[in-house]
Amino acid sequence: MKSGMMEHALNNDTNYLNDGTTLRSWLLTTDHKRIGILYMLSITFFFFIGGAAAVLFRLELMTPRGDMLSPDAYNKLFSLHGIVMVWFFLIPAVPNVLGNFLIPLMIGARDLAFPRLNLASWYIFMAGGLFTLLVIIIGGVDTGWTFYTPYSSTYANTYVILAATGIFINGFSSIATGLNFIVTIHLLRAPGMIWFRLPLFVWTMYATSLIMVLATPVLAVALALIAVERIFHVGIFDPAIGGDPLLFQHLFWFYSHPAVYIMILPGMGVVSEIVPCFARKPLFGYTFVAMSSLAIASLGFLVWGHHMFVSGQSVYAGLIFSLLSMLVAIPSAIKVFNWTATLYKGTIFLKTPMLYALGFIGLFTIGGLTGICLATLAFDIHVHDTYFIIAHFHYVMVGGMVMAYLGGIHFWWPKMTGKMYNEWLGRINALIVFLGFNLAFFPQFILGYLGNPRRYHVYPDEFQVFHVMSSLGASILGVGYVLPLFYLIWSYKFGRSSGQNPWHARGVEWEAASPPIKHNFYEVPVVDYPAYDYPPAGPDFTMSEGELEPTSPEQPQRRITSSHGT
Amino acid sequence: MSHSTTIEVALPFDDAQQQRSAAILGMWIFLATEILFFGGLFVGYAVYRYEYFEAFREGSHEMSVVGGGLMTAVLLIGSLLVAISDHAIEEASADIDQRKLRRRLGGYLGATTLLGVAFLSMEFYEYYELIHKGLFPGPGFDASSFPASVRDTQTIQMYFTLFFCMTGLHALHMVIGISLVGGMAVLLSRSEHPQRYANLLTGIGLYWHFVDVIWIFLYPLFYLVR
Amino acid sequence: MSHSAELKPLFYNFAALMVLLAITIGMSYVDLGAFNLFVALLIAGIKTFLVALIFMNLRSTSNVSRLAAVGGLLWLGFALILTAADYHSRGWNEAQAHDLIEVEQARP
Ligand SMILES: [Cu+2]
Repeated sequence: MKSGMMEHALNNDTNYLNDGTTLRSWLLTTDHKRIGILYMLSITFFFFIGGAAAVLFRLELMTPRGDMLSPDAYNKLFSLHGIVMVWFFLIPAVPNVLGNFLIPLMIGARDLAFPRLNLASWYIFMAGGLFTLLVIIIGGVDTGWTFYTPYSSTYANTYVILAATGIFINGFSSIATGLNFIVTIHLLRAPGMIWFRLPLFVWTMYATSLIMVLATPVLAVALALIAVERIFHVGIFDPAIGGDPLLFQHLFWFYSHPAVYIMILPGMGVVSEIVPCFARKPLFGYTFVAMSSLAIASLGFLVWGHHMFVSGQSVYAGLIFSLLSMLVAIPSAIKVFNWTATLYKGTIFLKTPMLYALGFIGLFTIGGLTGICLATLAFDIHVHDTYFIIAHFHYVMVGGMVMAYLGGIHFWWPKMTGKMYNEWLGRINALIVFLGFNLAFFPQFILGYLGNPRRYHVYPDEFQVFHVMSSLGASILGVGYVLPLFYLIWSYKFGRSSGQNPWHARGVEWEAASPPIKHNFYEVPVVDYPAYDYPPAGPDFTMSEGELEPTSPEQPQRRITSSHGT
Repeated sequence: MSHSTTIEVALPFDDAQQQRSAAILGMWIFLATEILFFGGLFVGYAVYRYEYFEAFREGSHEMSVVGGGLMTAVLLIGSLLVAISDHAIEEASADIDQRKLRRRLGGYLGATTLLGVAFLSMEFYEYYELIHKGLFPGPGFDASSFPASVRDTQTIQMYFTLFFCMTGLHALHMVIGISLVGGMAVLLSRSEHPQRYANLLTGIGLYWHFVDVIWIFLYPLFYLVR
Repeated sequence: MSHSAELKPLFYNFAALMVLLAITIGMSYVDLGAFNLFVALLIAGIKTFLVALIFMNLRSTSNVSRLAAVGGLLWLGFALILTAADYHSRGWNEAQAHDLIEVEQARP
C-alpha cells in the first residue's frame, strides 16, 4: 500500500469539488467523481434536447390532422427524440453518472482502474454528441432511431451517414466505460470486499458493462455497413442485388435488445440501494438479486428476434425467440419480488428517493408484463408497430429508468454535493413525475390496442381524446423534469449541509466524507460486514425535514481500519 | 517482482503486479469487443455464404492461394517476433545490460513493423489487381467473366463486397498495429529503462496477435473456397 | 535458466502454425464437399488456440482474462447460431407459401 495512504494533514474542508476550481482543472480531471459530474451536466443537456423534440411532436399530435409539422419534420423529430434519448441520455445516464461516481466509492477504491481512459470516454461521448447535434442543425435524419434498411441504406435522403457516425463514435465511449468498470470491479475492491459483499448497484453495473462491451461493437459494424452501402453503392442490404435487409435487423437488434438492459439494469441497481435504506432492512434474497442481473445480461443476448416477428423472419426462429424472451421475465420478476419482500414488515420512510424507487417498482412491473404480452407471437402481430409498443418501452425506459435515475440523483445528492435539497419539493416532484408519466403513457396502451400505428402524425378522429390526454400528461411530466433542475441547483448554492450520511445508509460509499475528498477515503476501508447490514431489530429513527434523525444519539459505528499494516 | 524497481505504480493500484493484471485484463476485454466487432461481419459472411455458396466459390477463384498463404506466413513470423520481444522484456532482470536489451527489442519490433508493411503491400497489390479487373463492387462492377448463375443474380458482387469490407477492416487494424509496434520499436530502442514499458508492450503484442488471428480466419474463408 | 530454453515453446508453436498453414492450403485442393469448410475452420480454430495459448500467453494469465477471451467467442456463437436459426428455417414453410400464391391466383 505504498501510494495508497493519503496525506493525513489534509484540510478537512478540501473535497473533490473545491480541490481546483478552474475550468482547466475540470476539463483535464481524471477524478472519477468529477468525470461523473461532467457526464451529469452533458446528459442533462441532451435530455432536454430530446425532450424538446418530444414537446414539439406531442403538440402536433393534439389534433388528428397534420397542422403544425410537415410529415418530414415529424419524422425527423421522432428520430431525433429516439436517437438522442437512447444513446445520449438513457445509456449513459446511470452508468456514466452514478456508476462513475459511485463504483470506486462503493468498493473502497481510489479511482477507476484507468482514470485517463475514463476522461477520454467523456470526450468521445461529447464528440459523438456534437456530431449528432450537427446533424440536427443541418437538417436531421428521418429513419427513426432503428435505421432500418433498405430505407436507411437506399432511400432516405437525410443525413444518415452523419447520424450513424455520431452514434458510432459514442459507442467507443460506452465500450471504454464498460471495460473500465469490469477491470475496476475485478481488481480494485478494498480488503474484505468479497464479491458477495458488493452492493447490488455494483453487480448491476458489472452486468451492464458486460453488455456494453459485448454488444456495442455489433451496432458499430451494422451502422458502418449502412455507411459503406451508401458511399460505395454496394448491396449489402439491398435485395435488388442479392442483399438481405433483414440481416441489418439481426445485427441491429443483437445490440439493441441487450441495450435495453443497459437502460434498465442500472435502474434496478439504484432501486436495490434505495429500498433497503428506507425500509431499514437488509435486502431480501441478496444472492438471487445479484445473480439475476447476470442472468438478465446473458439471456438478454438470446432474444433479439422478438423485434422481428412480422419482418419476414422465419416463424420457427420466431418461436425460439418468443420462448427465450419469456425466460427473461424470470430474473426480472425475481428482482421485483425481492424488493417487495424487503418492504414487507420494514420501517418504511417515504423520503424523496424512496418515492421514486416505489414508482419504479410499479411502473417497471407494468412495462415488464406488457413485454411478456409482446413476446407472445400472436399478440405481437396485433400490436406490432402501434402505440402499444411505444407505451410498453416508455414504461420501462421512462417509468423505470428515468425514475430510477432521478431517485438515484436525489439519494446520492448529499454524497455528491454535501447539501440537502428541500424534501417537500422533492416529494411533490416525485408525485408530479409519477402522475404525469401515467397520464402520458397509459392512454397509449389503449391507442395501440385499438390499432393506432406509431410514427404517423395524422390519425382517425376517434383517437383524439387519448392523444390529448397523452400530450397533457407529457406537459405535466415536463414540469416534473424541469423543477429538480431548479431546486437541486438552489440547494447546491444555498442549501443546508447534509452531514456525512443523512440517510444513515450502510454502504461503504457513505464512509467517505460528503462530498468526498479527491481520492475518496482518508484511509482505505476494510470491509468485514455484508452489504445492507441494517440492524435487524429495526431502527430508532424519526422523520424530520430532509433527514432521518436517530432518536438515540449513539449509532452503531463501523470499524474503519487503516490497511497500513496489511 | 522484478519490475517494481523501475515501474511507477499508477494511483488506483496497490502494486505493480495489480497494475499489470489490470493492463492485461483490460486488453483482453478490449479484444472480446473486437471479436464482436469483426463478428458482425462474420455473421454477414455466414448468411451470404449459406445463401450464395456458388458465388463464393467463383469469387474465390480470383484470389491467389499462394499469395494469401505467403501473407499468412508473414503475419505469423511477425507474431513470433512480438512474442519473443514480450518474453525478453518480461524475463530480463533489472541488472541486465540495458543497451543490449534496447537493441534486441528495437530489432525484433522493427522487423515486425517491416513484415506488417510487407503484408499490407501485398494486400494492396491484390486490391489494385481486383479493381483493375473491374471487380470492385458498386455500379462499375464487371461481372462479365463469371458464369450466368452468379452473374445474372448479382450474387457474385456480394462475395467481393464482403471481401473488401472484411479484409479492409482487417487492413485498418493492421495500419493501427503497424503504427503501434513501430512506435514501440522507436520508444524502446531509445529508452533508458525499456522495462518500464513492459505492460504497454504486452498490450500492444496482444493486439497484434489478435489481428493475426482474424487473418487466420479470413484466409480460408476468402481464398480457399473451392 | 537459459533464454533459449525459455523461448523454445515459441519456436515450436511457430513451426506448428506453419505446418497447419500448409495443411489448410493442401486440404483446400481435396474435394470433401461441405466438409471443406469444416476442415478449414477446424484448422483455423486450432491455429487460433495455439496463438492464444502460447503467443498471447493465455496459458499463464489470470482466469478472468481467459474468461474474456472465451466470452467474446461464446457471444459471437450466440450471434451466429440464432441468426442461422432464422436463415436455415426460412424455407421450411415455403410449400404453404406457394399454396397461398396459387390460391390468390386461382381467385376469379
Ligand atoms: Cu427486445
